Amino acid sequence: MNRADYPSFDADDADFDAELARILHNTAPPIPGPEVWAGMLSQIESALPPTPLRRRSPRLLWGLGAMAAALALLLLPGGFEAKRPKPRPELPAIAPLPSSLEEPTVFAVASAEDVELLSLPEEAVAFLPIGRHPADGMAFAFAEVADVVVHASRPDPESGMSMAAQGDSPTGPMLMAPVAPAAARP
Amino acid sequence: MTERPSAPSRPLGHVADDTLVERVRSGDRHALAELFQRHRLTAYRVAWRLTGNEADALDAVQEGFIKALTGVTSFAGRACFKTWLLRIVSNTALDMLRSRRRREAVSLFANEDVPEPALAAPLCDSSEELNRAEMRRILDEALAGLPEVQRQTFVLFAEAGLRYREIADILGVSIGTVMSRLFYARQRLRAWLTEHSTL
Repeated sequence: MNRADYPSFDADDADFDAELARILHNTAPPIPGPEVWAGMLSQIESALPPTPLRRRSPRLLWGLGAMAAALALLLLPGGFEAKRPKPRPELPAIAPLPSSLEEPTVFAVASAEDVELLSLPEEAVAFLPIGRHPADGMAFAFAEVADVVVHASRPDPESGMSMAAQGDSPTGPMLMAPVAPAAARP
Repeated sequence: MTERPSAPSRPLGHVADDTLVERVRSGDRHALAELFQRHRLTAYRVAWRLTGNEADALDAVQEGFIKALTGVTSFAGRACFKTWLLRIVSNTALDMLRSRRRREAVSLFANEDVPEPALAAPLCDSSEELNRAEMRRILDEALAGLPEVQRQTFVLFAEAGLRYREIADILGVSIGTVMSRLFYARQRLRAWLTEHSTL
């Protein structure tokens, strides 16, 4: 598919595109010198993990696992005898909260009545949500990056942003989820 | 007949991006240098068109490379490295632009009574440079007048030379949306540039 597939694209547009290409070429940004690039590469290098993230072959892992299992069977007393399953230890009913959540920090949140929009740039209109958000009046727990494992995500069709785009960076996105209705707001 | 200068030795010059990314993950710094050399200029041009200045563009490129290479688990199997990188760089550049505008708005609000300083005359050593600087200023204004999504789409198309399919993947929209955004961006740019006598 190319640009000419667009139904409204005509010869006039082609002329304009050629002219635009010329303008873009003539107004190309000044290219930084080699020392700038070298400095940047050095910064990038130092920001990457120091230890290689080496991937082990799945076949190798399976092999190692099988060997370990066979060794355990040989070494454990009565390893070849069939054993009755042991009753599972009782799991704690509720896992203790991380210390950061034991004493939640209270943030003041503006309500709809607190905000009055006086003006808005035209380009921001498309991104302005109108109405009440679905968790109005609820308390939120703020998860830290280490608390969240993202198994899959899809880009937002409107903004094009995807949570996975942030990768595993510690500066990745913060996730919020409602935890319980709160009777009173701070 | 003049002798062509010999090309610098690049033993990784023919290695595919995906392979280089794998090597970077294994700690291969030569692979990183090659990947950086391949894509830094395109990433810089995209970031520069979106931010309008060198310092922010360089920051966006650096941050883009770091994010793209530290988040390679998210990248794996989703797209080619170039489009993945340009997605991050362009989003980072737009974030920087928004932050800068917020800072400028706050600064302007705090100094409402202070008269706006006169623009410094560009340091140009010829009339051609002057024309070029003026043309660049007009184009910057034209691009700044586009809605953000149209500007990002247009820059990825015109400056990075990406195809509709690649832009659609980067932005997470359909090809039709890409074409529609380009159509409207082109219309607005034409109107602006015609009005300002660049065409």
